[in-house]
Amino acid sequence: MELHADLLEMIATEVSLDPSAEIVGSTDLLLTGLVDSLGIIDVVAWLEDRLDLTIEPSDIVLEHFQTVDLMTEFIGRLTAGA
Amino acid sequence: MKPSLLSDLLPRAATLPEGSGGVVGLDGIHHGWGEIEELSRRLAGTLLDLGVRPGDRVALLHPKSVESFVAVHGVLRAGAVVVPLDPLGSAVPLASIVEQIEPSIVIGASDTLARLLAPVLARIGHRVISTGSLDSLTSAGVGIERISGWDEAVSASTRDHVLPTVEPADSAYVIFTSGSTGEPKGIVHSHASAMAYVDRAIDFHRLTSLDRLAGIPPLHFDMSTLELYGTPWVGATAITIGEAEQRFPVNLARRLESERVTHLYAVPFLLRQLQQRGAIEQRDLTALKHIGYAGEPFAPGALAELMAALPEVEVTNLYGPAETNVVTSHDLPAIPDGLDAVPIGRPWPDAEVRIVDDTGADVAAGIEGELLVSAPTCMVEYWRRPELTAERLHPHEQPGRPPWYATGDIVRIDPAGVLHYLGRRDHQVKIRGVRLELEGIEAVLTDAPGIEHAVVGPVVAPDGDRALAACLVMQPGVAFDQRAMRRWCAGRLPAVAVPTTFSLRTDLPTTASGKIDRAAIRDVLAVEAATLVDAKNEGNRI
Repeated sequence: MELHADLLEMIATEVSLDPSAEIVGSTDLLLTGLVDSLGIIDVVAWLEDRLDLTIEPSDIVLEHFQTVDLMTEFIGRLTAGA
Repeated sequence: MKPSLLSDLLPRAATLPEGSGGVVGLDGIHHGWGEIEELSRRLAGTLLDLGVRPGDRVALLHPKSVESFVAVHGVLRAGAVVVPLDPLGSAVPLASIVEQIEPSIVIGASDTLARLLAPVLARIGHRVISTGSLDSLTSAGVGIERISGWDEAVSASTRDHVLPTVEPADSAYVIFTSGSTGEPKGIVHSHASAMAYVDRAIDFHRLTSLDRLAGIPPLHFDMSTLELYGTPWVGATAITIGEAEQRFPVNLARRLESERVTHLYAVPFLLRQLQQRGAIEQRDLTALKHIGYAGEPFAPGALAELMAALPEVEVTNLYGPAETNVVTSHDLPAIPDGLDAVPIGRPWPDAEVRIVDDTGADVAAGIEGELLVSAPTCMVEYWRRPELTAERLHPHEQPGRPPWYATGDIVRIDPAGVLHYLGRRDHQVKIRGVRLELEGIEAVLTDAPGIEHAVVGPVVAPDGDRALAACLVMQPGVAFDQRAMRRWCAGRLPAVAVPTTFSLRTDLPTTASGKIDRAAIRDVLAVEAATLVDAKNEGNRI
């Protein structure tokens, strides 16, 4: 779960529009306004960089990026080669 | 006969034949105009029961939804003035707006109200109508006796109330934008000014009863008036676009396909995202007929890419400050093939324009100057700011004509009578279509602990999007903490107004009169940003 923890930390410190808000794995990052569309691009770039993989534009959707839990599940499937 | 009141639009739409449009919710469920009319009438009745009187303000803090569409019209039909607020906004400016407008009722989503307005609601004691679970509001300190649930507010018990008579000159809504002092200022439109806009807009967007308009702009943004009032006027369908589609271009593209959207009206930023990241080549967007854009210039290269990707779609550039609504437009005759900016076009019917120099005298044809507009679509005033209103609105020399509004925009007119936008005469900038006053942002930064001076300027980000950069001078002995600064900004500025980069200086250049030379610093910020872009592009090529 190292990725999960690092993602939470990265989003809280670098992407969140309200750095004082507490973010957990199930926090809805979108309806709370914590992450805007440019923030999502930052998250995607961070994931690609760190994991040395490519995320297809068609995979950058709400269902994969609404929460940190969903992001790690999506990345898990991606790296499992599914 | 043409309707003359926003509050008449739904009753009129409800008499259209079955199947003539309506509102599609985020869940894809279609609600006909008859149903929307009925719900808005019940809500208006509830508002009257709760003591709302003609001219009262009702604040609306709700994500886009069928409910928010109903709420806007319910408030108008109760004779009140609707004040849409940004559900993704920051607590401090929102509280300032609520205190300025003194609403008699606040309508909102419970979670959003609790997150952004709880201290104000707890202190002032407004009555609240809320969708969603009421627990989040009560635990935020809003007494349960002050809260009405949405279902109760639109129940059948209030459907037969007699609604007040509204006059065209009555105020209808207030749109708030950032002010140069950091204090938001409210732009007040009447039923007459809004209806004059909608009357023209449906023609220029070529909107008919068969069309399906994606409602992209948020409600606190004046561009949302097309879907709110234009779709019921012609009996078209408004497709509600939510936060997911705003954030994720792929989700937006899918929804445009599944809802067979025919018309888009959005800021260039969002259309650019759609084209670059929406994977639109995988979608069937053949229903799409017309794209209108407004809010800021569209970079010609980016616009050319969008138009090449959607070759069958007609594109119109629409121009107008929120104070006047749209007053000029330009239909793109072909895909732009150079770097020349797209013109803002010719004035709309009954819109008079003048181009003046610094002394207020008309310039010769072809010479640049400030654009003045007199149009029936013009606002009434700035909310409770008579000095500011007098500064920007000047009586027309011919009695009975709408006043002249000084736009602050520098334009020139070409021999064909087409207007070209050249820039601003003050320090207002547009970031992703949102109007920002640089001085207002600088005031917020300078108020932060430890900051001596702050200068903010627009820069072009690596992906071609515009953003803000800040240059700071710290007070002696204070270290800069970027995270603390971003936290400070988050509660006080809209997200687009938070600078993406902060650079530190020990002193700042001054002008001959000893003032900080903001123009020079803004130039430096822009050049530094461009250098970063070059470095990044260089890196990508290797």
